[in-house]
Amino acid sequence: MADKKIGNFEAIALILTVIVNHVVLNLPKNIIASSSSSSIINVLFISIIAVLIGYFVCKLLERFPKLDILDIANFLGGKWLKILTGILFLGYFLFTVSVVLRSFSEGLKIIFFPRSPVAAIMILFLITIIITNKIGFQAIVRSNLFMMPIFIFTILFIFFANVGNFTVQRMLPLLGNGAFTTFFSGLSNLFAFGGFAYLYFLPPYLKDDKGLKKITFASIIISGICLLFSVATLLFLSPNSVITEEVFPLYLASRNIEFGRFFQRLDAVFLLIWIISLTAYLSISFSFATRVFQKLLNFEYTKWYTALFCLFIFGFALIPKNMYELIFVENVIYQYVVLILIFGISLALLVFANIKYNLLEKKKGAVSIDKASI
Amino acid sequence: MQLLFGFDVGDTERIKVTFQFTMPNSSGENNPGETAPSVIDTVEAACIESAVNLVNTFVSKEVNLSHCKIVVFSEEMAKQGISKEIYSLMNKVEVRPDTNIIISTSTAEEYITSVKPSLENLVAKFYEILPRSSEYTGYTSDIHLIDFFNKLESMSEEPIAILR
Repeated sequence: MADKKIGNFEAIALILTVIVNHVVLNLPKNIIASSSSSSIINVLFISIIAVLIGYFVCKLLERFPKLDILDIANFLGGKWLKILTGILFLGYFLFTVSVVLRSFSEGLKIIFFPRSPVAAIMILFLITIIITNKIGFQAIVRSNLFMMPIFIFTILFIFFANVGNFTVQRMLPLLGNGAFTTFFSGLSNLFAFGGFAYLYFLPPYLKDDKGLKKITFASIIISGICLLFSVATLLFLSPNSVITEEVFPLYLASRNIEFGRFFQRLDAVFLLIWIISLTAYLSISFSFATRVFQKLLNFEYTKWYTALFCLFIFGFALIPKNMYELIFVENVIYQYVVLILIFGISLALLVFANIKYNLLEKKKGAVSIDKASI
Repeated sequence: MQLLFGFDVGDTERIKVTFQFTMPNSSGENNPGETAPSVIDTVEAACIESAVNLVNTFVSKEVNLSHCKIVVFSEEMAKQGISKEIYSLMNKVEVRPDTNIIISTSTAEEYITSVKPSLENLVAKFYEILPRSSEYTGYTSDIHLIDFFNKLESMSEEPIAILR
């Protein structure tokens, strides 16, 4: 495990990959579609809620240092609960990788390769995932840390370079479709912070055991800022009807950037950066999927079945027959999966594990929980 | 390289679309005094997609709209309504949002054939510089496709275009 330990910055970058990639795909579009002109207030609101949830999660994890959610499930309900939780998270990681892979590949096909089959584009990404996973988790996480400032810079750059094209009045009326939509049904936009899934698996990988709180808050705040800037860019730039129809709305925003006659068509550079970003994201999610599988079956090595997992992802990603089905899976099913698994089941699991811990503590006086006892 | 789109009301179909292409390798460097040649083709079709497909059947290279600088609509066409064409152009990934929109008092075909840049050898450069004259004169404006479309969608603004 020592060679798999990661630092605080690496961990923050790891959680940020989720938001960055979903921002590039359809996240801001979904928020604008549901909240309309109140999207900015909605993002601020869900960011505050995410910080509170993050604080709550850190408090709940304090009792279980160096343990991930599978160990905690094992402590709470034994082997069967661990297997059930593992299967759910394994499904979540594979589902996410499949959907994001297909969605991005379809976007690339529309923009650059209209005559190439989408499967060919997906295969190129899958080969990259296999290679990165063979190189190792450390390499993926460090490369991701190296590239993360550039990924975030693209989001901020698109905002500032488009300022001249903005119609700020588009954020009026401030409460959009009403307070209920902004603050109550708008809570479903919490799915934007799907990076929490990695948070539950991070403790065993952290060099600094006390760094979890810093990592949580830093990643949520930076995620919130990225989301805020991307939503603001799209909201101020084009009417809602245009944003909600686009394949990559942020790509549309990047196409408007020009500095005089000489610096035009910068969108190709952004797309190249986002391809690297997507590869990092897919590799990280895939790495977590194989680690969950390894932990469930007590395998010593992960490398031999990565290719099999890739085949599974490839097959799963090809299930949606068309863009309409894919958008439904990406916008509706993914949203509910995140809300139910990451913010529902996982939080409930942590709460019940803490209650059990307290009860045992009262019974025995003191309980020491470590990996050996579990 | 496709430079310009022109839309007129069709005689047999809904729209008459005029395309202007530059000749490959026509940089104008060999004969500095000469204007680089361009090719103009006109087809009638029900929509932009059909028009592009029709042109693709008799042009040896595939039409690519990535370098389209200007879209011209005839005044008659503009009076009938051009929202369908604007939506189609916005939905095409190849067409840039900074493409200029011009309304011609004559037909679009006439406008395109009569453009003879006197101080510029390259037609492409002429089309790029032309709308930018709004930076130093008040007689014209630099209207992009995205601005036109945003105003078309807006409840509080009316779209405007360059009149030629």
